[in-house]
Amino acid sequence: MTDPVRTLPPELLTAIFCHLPPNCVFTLRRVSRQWDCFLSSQPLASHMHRNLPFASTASDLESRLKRRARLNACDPVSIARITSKSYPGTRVRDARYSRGLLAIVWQNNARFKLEVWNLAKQKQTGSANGTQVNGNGHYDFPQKTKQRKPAVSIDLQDLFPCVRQYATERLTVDMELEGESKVLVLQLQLSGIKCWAVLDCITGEVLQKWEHDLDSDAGRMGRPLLRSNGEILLCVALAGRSATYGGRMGTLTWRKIAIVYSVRTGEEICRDYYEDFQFCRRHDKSQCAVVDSMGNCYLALQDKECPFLEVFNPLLQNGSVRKNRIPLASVFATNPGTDEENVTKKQFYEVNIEPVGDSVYCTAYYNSAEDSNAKAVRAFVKLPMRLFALASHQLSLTNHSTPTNGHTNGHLVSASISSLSSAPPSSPPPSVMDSNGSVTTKVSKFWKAALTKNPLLRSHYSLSPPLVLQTAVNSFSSDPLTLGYWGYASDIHYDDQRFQISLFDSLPSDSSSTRTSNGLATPTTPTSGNIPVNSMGLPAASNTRIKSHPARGYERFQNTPLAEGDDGVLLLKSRDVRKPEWYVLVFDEDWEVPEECGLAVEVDELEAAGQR
Amino acid sequence: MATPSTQATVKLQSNDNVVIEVERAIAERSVLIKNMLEDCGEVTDAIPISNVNESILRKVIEWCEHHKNDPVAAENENDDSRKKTTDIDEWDQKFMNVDQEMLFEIILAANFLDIKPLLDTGCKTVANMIKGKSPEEIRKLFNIQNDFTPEEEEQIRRENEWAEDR
Repeated sequence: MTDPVRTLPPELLTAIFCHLPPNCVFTLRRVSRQWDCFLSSQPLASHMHRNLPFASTASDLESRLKRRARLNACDPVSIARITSKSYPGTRVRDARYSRGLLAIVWQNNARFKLEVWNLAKQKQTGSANGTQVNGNGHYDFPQKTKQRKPAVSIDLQDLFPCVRQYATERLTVDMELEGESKVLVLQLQLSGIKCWAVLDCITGEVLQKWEHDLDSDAGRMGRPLLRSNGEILLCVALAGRSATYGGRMGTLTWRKIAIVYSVRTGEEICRDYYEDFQFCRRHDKSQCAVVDSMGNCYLALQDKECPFLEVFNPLLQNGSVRKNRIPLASVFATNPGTDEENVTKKQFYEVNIEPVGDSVYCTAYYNSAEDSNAKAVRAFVKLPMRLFALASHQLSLTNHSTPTNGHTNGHLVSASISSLSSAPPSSPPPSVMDSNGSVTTKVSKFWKAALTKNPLLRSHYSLSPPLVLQTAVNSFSSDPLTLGYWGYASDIHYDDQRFQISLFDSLPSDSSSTRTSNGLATPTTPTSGNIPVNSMGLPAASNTRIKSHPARGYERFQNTPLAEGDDGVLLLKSRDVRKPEWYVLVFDEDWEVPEECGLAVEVDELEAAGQR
Repeated sequence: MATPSTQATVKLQSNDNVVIEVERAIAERSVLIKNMLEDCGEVTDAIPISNVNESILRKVIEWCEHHKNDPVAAENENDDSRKKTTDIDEWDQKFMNVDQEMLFEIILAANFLDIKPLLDTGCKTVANMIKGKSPEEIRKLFNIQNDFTPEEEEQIRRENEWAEDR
């Protein structure tokens, strides 16, 4: 018998350990000194950290696994209530969290202030005893804790002076914190005016601002969804339009519209109307639209026939913007034959698209519209960002493109796909986890076609193959927002080389069922009530109090539905409509809510707020 | 580069000086040998495989023969795509059902000869042996002596307790 750690070189040992769950890097250190030495090595941990399929804001593998363990155990490092201690009477008007940044809009009477805080702990400098050597070579006594300042602090009346002339009590504030590109998109809305701004969250610089009155198309929009990558601003909304009847001005009609603006110049780049389509909705019921770091705009739409993802890049083309459409069923397909043939039958209740790093994370919640008794499916797909852009671009350029209804520049990718060979690509297909939790390898026709045609795509595909996870839920009786969102938030975990998804956190405490580790509900005896189970599907041993309450008493406010489990922070808002409270749960020791914007609280207060 | 050769077989010489003649297509499952043949053209002499003995070389050739019709992986395909699962084909499982010493030799030979699918199968096999086992079971499996003092072991256990599956 031979010890592999003594026999094999480090690069081969790394290859072996990459087939194992990442926690083994820590749990197997006590095998022997040699194992301890190898498993403690930085290159191994870095390699595993880089190659885990989910995006993470954690600095290293250890903090990543620790925060996930804490999240799974619902054991936060700290809990803070967002509050302004310095200014009595100040209340939180809105808050957002993304990738270590916390944005808050405070209101004090008629004044509104935007602050963006970096939650990374400030590193202690100086010697261990707290004294520091100054420039003259003398020791300085340690100073009292330096007051932290927000990365961005802007008085909204200073940002938009025109707002001063309106009664700000009716001011609506919306924001999207784009943690990936470190920009914040802000919109203020009053009856007569709409103000938008894109701000750099690191420098505090206002990159661009717009003021729209009722004379403009943007001014007549309903509450739009604004997304930005710092270069462009995508605006998706219902826009009002005057109609004339027999020479007389009639009432407004509403049209669905998407407009892209340049953040640099503020000018409109392109716009399109979607007369016959519905916008697919995200978990929070807003339109599913997003911009990635490469300038690709993603817009999920549904007509009577086929839900699809429209992908276009307004920065790449001169003049007309080429728009390409990928059927959502192809994006989420795990069973090539049935999924794509039944594309028209699928009903998507929820679609979330989120670019993270060089990947696009997609989640959906769908069912067959024809069979109301069929199980709903939650699907999760991770795809390389370039794959989306290149696939749609390549297919529409080289194959029989079909102009689509309402789109002079549109090209229906699905039409092209059917004409292409379905020969399997030489690169490996995506891993698919079916509802029983087993990993299979299937690939949708769309990707097969794209890969067969394009060697460049193949290289991206093999470097970062798509990852598809699916789990079935047995009914729509639970709140779909909370159910899916919370379930994905805490329960995707890596075990035994498989990703297990359980939805136990989303169950109300009086539920008569528990979730197994593969996400399927199994009935329990009525007397058992709610049996909290851990992510392995086993009864949870400790601290189940927080676990059951946030899902019931809070709304989630987080931009990334997929990286949540790896993001280290949960932002919760209590559902008290009169006086909502905002809580930040921190699961990573390297992060904290500064005292200047958050008050540390105990579990009891969090629970009390959730139950109110 | 030399002109492409049409020779049907090549000779491989193990480090214990045994010469084995194999079909060229089978030998070319090894990227090392494939590149060598492409660079040199017609090779009549035996190609020395200096790091591999006869028994391991025969084992590797057996694997190559069985997988000779498998599609060749993309050149730029990195390890990530193969990490998603520890599933191993049934034939490969039987093939890898050898003593540990030979298993590690096969892995080393696959690495030397640059046969990525074989290397991957070998690594998965070892990973499957380790998976789900406690440190004590792993020591027993690989005959590893516990060279920690009880206190040291307890300290490491406590430091990494958070990572234990619960």
